[in-house]
Amino acid sequence: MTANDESLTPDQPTHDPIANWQWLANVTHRDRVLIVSNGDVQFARALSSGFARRTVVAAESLVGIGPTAPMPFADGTFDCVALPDAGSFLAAFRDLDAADAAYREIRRVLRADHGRFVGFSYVGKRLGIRMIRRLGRIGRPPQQRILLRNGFSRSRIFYIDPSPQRPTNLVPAERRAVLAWERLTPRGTWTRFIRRVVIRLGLHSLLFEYRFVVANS
Amino acid sequence: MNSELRKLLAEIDPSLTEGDGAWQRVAVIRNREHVPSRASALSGARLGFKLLIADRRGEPRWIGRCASPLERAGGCSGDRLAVLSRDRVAGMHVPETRVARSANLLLVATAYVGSRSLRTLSDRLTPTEWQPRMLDVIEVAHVVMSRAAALNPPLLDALVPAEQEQRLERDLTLIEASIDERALVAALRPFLARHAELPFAVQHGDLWAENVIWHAGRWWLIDFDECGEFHNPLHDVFHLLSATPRKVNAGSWFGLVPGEEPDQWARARYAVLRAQVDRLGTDDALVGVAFLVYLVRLVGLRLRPPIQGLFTSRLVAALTRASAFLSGGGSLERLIPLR
Repeated sequence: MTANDESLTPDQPTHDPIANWQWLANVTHRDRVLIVSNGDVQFARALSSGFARRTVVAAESLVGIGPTAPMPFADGTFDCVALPDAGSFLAAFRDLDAADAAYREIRRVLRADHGRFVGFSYVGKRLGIRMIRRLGRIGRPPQQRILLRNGFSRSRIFYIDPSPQRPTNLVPAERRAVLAWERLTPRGTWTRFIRRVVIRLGLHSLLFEYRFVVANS
Repeated sequence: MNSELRKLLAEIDPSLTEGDGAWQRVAVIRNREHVPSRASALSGARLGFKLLIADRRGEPRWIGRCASPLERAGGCSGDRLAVLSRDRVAGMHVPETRVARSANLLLVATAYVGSRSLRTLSDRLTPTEWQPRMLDVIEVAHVVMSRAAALNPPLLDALVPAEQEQRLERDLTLIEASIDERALVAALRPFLARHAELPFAVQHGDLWAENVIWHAGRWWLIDFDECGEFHNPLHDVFHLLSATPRKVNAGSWFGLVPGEEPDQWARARYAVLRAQVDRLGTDDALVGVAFLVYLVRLVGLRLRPPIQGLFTSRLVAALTRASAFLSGGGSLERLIPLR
């Protein structure tokens, strides 16, 4: 596994709104962050704004990790681990056991007291695809389930509108927050009515293409 | 959610402390800039991000603007706006405002007063229905700004003619340098020399139709970030007329086109403007000067950070037309032909 370490200047000003996810995820310590990169360097850089040191590893290099092939980092090395493309990361594993092993390994390298995990994922552009995916499962989304199964706690989902690279709105996946956000968004009468019915039925995940999940170690 | 932000939110809305799930009622909206950002504090940018706080039923309750606590303390935002919203008279038209600050964050939260803006309402009105509503809004703005000036004496500091002269000159220089319009500025200077004759008054500064909301049977004004920046007594009126209603404004020069036969909408606009001019007791030539000052100051504002050129082309086009009209022998009285 190749890991690129960079020392960042904490005082370096940043304007990128991508970094504001840290207010919602309660990132309290900003010494060291691990980015499991999907190749989007700019996005990874913006995500880790405010941290003193950043380590970047390629997502594909984590596919085989587990107890027998651990990551080359000591326990509790990082304050935060970020997956810019958690959906593709999860899909790369051959089975759930391998994915579980990778997530346990991520948890191991996080600080036990204040470590934070954040994973961004793409759900699907077309409403139909999102509906099929939603109907294909009952209960929590797969990433949240896998996090809780592997010892993470207090996981929360936020929707991103319109995209992680341009995150104008970050809305908690909670009926009241989505309803209130919907009130502020100008739409036609019928579109508004249908969307409000969908939200009241608890199916608000159908309305968003992107989301991110945050969890405590 | 970040504990620092939680503390500020609890100061704004104590109901958010009722159980852990309550924090899930807070969404980030208009996420434009990372906070804290040293650069924005130095440049005086008012960006940051906004928070939408829903109530227990899922209705919007507060809209909070989060920015660096180091940002320029000017205009009528933050603490000054909170004072204004508590005033018995102004509080009828300024939504309740609360302020909380910490080491890294300044949170200014304004009560949500609905989304039925004047802009949306105007699109459904006829000119005869629209005209009295506009006069109502201008009267409300007049009352609120009078109270703002009384409650915040620093807003009056800029009313000194020398300060106004300096601001106008700064914006003219910026226009010359930024859009390379030396000839345009040179042509306008002789006409702008009369600006000192304008009676100065504190203006809202961004009184366009999206910042005027109809709620609970009265008009509410929001977004006071530019309050105190402009003192041209017709600034708010011109600004309000510049974008209301949308259907009439497409491609026209604020609906006030010299030399063209006014249609029903233009006549309604002239009537609104004339009512304000009569109240001020100024002559028609000064209305032309006020219009030029309005355009120059607004273009100047939009050439500075953080806006830097956004929505400027239409205003520059208007300024060019005004300059061409005056250079071609047109008089200040006929620039905005009210009679």
